[in-house]
Amino acid sequence: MVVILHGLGCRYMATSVISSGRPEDDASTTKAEQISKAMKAYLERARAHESFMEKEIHDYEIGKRHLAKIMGADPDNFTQEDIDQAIQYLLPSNLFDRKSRPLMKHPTKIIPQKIVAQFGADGRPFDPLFYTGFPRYYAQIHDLGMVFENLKKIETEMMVKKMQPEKELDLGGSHWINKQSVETMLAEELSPGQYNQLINLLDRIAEHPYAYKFHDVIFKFRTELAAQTSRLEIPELKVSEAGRLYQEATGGRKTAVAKVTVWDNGTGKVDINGKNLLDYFPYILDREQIMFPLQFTKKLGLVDFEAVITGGGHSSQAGALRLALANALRSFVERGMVEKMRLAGLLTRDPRMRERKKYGQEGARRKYT
Amino acid sequence: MGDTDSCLEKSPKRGGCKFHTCSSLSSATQSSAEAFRKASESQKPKISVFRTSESNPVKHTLAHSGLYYKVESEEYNRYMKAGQHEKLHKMGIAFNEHCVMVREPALEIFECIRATDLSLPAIRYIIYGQLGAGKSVTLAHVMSFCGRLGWFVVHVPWFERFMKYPKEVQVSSHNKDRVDTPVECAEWLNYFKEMNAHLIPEVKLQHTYVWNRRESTEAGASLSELLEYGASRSKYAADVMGAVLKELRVQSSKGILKTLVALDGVNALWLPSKISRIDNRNLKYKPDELTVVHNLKKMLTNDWSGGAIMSIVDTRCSPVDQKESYMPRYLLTKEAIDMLEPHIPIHIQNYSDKEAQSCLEYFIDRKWIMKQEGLTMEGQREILFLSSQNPLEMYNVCSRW
Repeated sequence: MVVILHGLGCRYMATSVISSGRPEDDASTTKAEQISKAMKAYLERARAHESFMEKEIHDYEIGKRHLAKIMGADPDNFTQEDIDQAIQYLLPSNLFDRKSRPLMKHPTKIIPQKIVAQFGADGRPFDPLFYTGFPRYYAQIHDLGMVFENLKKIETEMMVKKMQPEKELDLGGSHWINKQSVETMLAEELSPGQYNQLINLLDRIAEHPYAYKFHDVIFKFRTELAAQTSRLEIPELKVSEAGRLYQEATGGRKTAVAKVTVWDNGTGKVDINGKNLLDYFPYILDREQIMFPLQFTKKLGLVDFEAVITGGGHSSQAGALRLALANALRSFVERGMVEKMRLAGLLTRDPRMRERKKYGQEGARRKYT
Repeated sequence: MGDTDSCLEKSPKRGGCKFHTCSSLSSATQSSAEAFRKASESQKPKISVFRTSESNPVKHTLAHSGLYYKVESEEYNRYMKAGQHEKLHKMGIAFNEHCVMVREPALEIFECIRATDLSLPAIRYIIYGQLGAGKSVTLAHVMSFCGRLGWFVVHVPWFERFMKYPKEVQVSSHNKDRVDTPVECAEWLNYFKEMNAHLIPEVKLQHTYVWNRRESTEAGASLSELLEYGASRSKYAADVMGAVLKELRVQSSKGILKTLVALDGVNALWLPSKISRIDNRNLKYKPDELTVVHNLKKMLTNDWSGGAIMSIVDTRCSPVDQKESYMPRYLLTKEAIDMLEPHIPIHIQNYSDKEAQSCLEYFIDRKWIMKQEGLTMEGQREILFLSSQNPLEMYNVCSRW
């Protein structure tokens, strides 16, 4: 990028030289020479970067061997995992942001890569978009633009044939990749505006009735949503002394905390702090909240549960118990249902808390007047 | 109702119990006949048993447990009109009939009453249970049972009227330390008269009661005379009430008649009243300073025989900060417990699975559950979960289905 600016600057300088009407001897350097100067600067920089990377990699390898020696391990078989462990042991850090903690990784993984531009013998770049500053980005935009043009063509053809699209493009369960992913894909740093431009274009393509014909192109820019729960570990069911399956879990909402034990093969018995459901939760709204996870997993009347709830009011206690029940019921159902539960909001803690009182005011929002 | 009943009446003695459905037929039939039977059964509406045609509480046995019986309107007006939850009356209007479920605690009390030796001091029962569990309905069932046996029933359904918001308060003419609530007492005398109308004419008084220098009721006069006097001279209504209760105690002890005392919300008798003192508006009367409470506490002592004493302890009567538990030891003061020992505790629990199923079927029959979801297994499980199988709450929850 710096190279490009430099080149442009030179060109402008050249024009300005002509317009200012300076003597021709001063502007003896020709256009080709200007470019080759830029070339030279670029190549120098590229070389510098290369040697810098070489040095970094060399340092990394040496450092790795030293570290292995300190840890008393075999330097030839010292893996990245061992390095991470060693760093964590030698330089323990409690900093909140994990990115701020000390690390030692291969330089290619830390230092951003630079694309090597291809130049001809005359010093002109092969890529026609080189001087845009973002050749890969604009190439991508062009490709997508062509996709959109093709779609319009297909639509017209189909209208002439009086045919309808065969199916719809299903975008459920996925979303557009974020700016960082686009940047790593293109190996170029983008501005937020450029990212938005790309996403807007993709949106227009995805909304098109014949978008399904370019499924692969579109899905190159999308990531699956479902990956979340597959990463979560679901505890196995426990077995009591009497040989009955059960699961324990906790949940919370506001200041209420609920601990629940759900028993398999039950008849729907409920015990909350030693009382039955109606006795503990006289409001039907609260009981409906508690019923939801059981009803959603179709376990109503098939499991028993005991709960101990502390803190909070009746509504937040019901919310806490709902979360605890949902957490415990994960062990009783299959994976697909767990994902459905997550999408239904059963496994997410309600983050809302009581808003503080402000001085000079009667409460959080209310004024004295 | 018609179909189910007629089906039951036509086959009264099958397999020892007449409440089984007719699903078990001989399996050794020809395949075609089997197929025909299956086809015809699938077309027939499912016969569910949730009712019994036995409307006489005296004949109720364990076989009737969990089934509804129809209460005749005369009996309903006599024993269930007062002292029941407002929703029960609304249910009666909505369903166009009054039905009560035969439940095990009531049957247990029947057995106890049957087995009681009436020459011994009266047995006290304390009925307790969660709000809406059916304490008052069980009491009404027992009253109906005793009424059929020819017992006098002394029912006090509303202590609030005596102890919280009486219309008038006056110093007792009999004892200057006590106060009367004459309007409510006169009302209660009328209530007592209506409830026991068929027994009152036969009773003659055994004591002479002098009200003032000119007026008195002589021994040998009939009980109805005494009641009429109380109704017409409301000044003495509280004392007449005491006299009536005394006559019942004395005559029951002698074996002339039998008495059932049924007090709803008995824990109120030991709680401070809300009536301001006549001499000092800032202070309230203690419960013992009310003539009514004084007289009713005498009924609770077991120094008389020839009857039974039912009392309900209820969180409804207790102050706002004392409603955490429904157990008698929590709701009654120490003084009260000392007075009521010994007693038989009767715990009215929420519906058992069988009773709850019967209730659901009754509601479906009466179209109280109308939505299609309410007829499915999942829907009914939801109803049972949301209501915790509590009778009153089941009615409330089902009203939205």
